[in-house]
Amino acid sequence: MNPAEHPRGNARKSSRYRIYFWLMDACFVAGVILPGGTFVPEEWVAEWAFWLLGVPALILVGGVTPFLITARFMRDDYAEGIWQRSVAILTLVMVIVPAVFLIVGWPIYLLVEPSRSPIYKTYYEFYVFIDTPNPVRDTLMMAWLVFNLSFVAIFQFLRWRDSR
Amino acid sequence: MKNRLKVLRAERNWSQAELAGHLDVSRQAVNAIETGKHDPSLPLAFRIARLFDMPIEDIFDDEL
Repeated sequence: MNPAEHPRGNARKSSRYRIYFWLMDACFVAGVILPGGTFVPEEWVAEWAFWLLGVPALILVGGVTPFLITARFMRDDYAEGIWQRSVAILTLVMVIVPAVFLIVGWPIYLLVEPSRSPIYKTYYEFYVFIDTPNPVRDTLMMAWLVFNLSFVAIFQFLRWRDSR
Repeated sequence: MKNRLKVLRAERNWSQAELAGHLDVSRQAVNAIETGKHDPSLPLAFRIARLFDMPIEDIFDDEL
């Protein structure tokens, strides 16, 4: 390859790669706003703040993040490497964390409330939407959002660690 | 994995962005490879070798 023939490389592809990282940054900010907003009492939230912050955050987390996770064509070699490392970590987290919840739940529950089945209590706490009118839908929705947020958080953490 | 990418780039007075343009990757990718934070895939390693007209093992060395 003669570098003189390609002084700036493929500009369109480079833009795509840059946009991928910018969108990931935006999704990370949205990922902070969205869960943070759920802790704010409803009466404290102005309507303009909901439309200006809440809706864009929801679009970024629920729409843009899944797009970024699936958009292989927007990732260069480095982004693809981080993506693979993120997926590996996320897989371990998804396998280990629920198991830890269950295992740790037993001794804690036996100490706190030994009269009831610890496995039930842990199960109940873990699947927080078990009492909602649509438990399956709500649990899937929450798992989906948590998965998206977790992926972005891990991806950004790996980027930050690489930059140091 | 250690590599000589930074030296080779400096010899040609290229910025990281310019090298990224030649290799069709992002500037972050070049930076991550130069600092040893990211090992390039085999296709990218071949592109780097072709760009500098050198064998891969002269640029990347896992024993350095």
